[in-house]
Amino acid sequence: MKEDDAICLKNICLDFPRNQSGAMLIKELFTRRSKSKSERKFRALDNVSLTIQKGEVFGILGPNGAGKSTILRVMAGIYSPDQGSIQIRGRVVLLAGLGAGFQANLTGRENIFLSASIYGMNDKEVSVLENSIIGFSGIEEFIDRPLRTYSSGMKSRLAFSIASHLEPEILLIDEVLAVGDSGFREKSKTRIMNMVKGDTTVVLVTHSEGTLRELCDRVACFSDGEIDCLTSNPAEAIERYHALSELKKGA
Amino acid sequence: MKNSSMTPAAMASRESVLELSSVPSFFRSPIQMLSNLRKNRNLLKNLVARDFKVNYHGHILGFFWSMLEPLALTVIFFLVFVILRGQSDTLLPLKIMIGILIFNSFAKTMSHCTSCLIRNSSLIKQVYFPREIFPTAIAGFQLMSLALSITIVIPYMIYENIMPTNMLFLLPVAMFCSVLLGQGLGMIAAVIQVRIRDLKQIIDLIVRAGFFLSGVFFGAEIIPPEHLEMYFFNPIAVFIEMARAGVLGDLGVLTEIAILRSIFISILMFFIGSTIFVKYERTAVKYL
Repeated sequence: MKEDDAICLKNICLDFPRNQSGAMLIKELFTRRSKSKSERKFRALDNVSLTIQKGEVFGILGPNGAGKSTILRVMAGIYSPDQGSIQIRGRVVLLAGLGAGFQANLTGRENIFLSASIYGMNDKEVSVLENSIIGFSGIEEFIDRPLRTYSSGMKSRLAFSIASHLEPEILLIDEVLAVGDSGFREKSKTRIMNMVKGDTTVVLVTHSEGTLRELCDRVACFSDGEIDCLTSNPAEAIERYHALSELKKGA
Repeated sequence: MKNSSMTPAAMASRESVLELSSVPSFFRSPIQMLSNLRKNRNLLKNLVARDFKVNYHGHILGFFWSMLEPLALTVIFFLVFVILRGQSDTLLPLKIMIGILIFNSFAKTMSHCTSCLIRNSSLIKQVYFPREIFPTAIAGFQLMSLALSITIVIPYMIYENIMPTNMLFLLPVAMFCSVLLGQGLGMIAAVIQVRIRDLKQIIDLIVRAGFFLSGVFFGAEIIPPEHLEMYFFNPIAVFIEMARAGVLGDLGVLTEIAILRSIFISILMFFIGSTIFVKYERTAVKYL
């Protein structure tokens, strides 16, 4: 791993079990007829090697089930690969759905501390950012009420506000985070843009062609758990993605 | 630097390279688990605090509701015993109360740990932190609520004029070990349960049977002496007797060898449980 690399994946293979019912397990046990490996497992990532440099904005696209979210989760440490190695330099945050660990019966303030600590911050760091988080979310007057009294828009504003204060070195984003009303959406877009344009390394999974064209330094198009094409020209990857979608439709 | 499960925060401060794919060797797993827990003690504290707030939030009597169940059961069992056996041991309600509290903490820890991966599956797929935090937070919460609810014996001790002796130290040891045993067994069950979901029902059944076999509502002195040796191979029965002995200041029929053996069993199960959990949770989360 070179000094200016943020993420380095080497020959990553990841298998998922095809979910078997308990009854099937017992049947297999008694008949002693074990299935072949491919029947039991499903290869989600097949020999993926990828190096992402510090400060780079890396886009990932591909048809459904191509392994886009899985590769993000591997980078975040959620799934450990069956083969291959990963090296990560810096603090990683994965944004895949907002509001990790939110509890309906706790107040907004309590949820800030809980959720931020789940993302790896300690209470001291959070109390420094507390006012800024509340201020950005724009729900000061409700912050000491239980979360269950919030509207879903308010909930996502609070969640986004926490997420945007994490300030990781590496940010993994799964699908676009558009939340709240139009005013808040503008605010959050600016915030993401700032992170993207700053020295944060960003890996972005998205179907939005506009985002890819505008932001990404490099784009990879995934297909069936493999990198189908890797290019610094987003248009090329998008074209490839359309071709793959057509192919799928035909088959 | 080889360390598979540092928190992002801890990593950032050291600017180190994280190797996510390294799997700890079998015997290093418990040590790694303990060091991960130490590194994430802030999160652990917040999760235990969350459980307290969520469980006792918005109730005026809050915690006392959780004492109501053991109290009601104590009354019921005491009445049944008095009616059926004509027993008039005035200490029996106290013994039953302690039995229920110790057994419930063990059973709840075990069964909640068993389902901890499945119940937190959405969180697990969203954020990475060492998963051994889930069962440990459960055990921590159960141990702390046990410590609070065991205070229920204080008025009874005053009423019966029981003075605490230096044997009282047996009580916290018994409380700790019964929760530790529950966590150890629960962690083994947790990684199996993601594949075989029926395990929860089986465990509930075993817990139900254990309730009647562990001397929750009777003292060990009613066990025939020739079976006592075997009876004390059940660590939970020993922990319940230990807690009673601690409060009453009298070992009764309990032997030191049974106490030491049970403590050893619970520590051993905790280490086996954490080894299995750390080793197999990586595979287990793929089934979620």
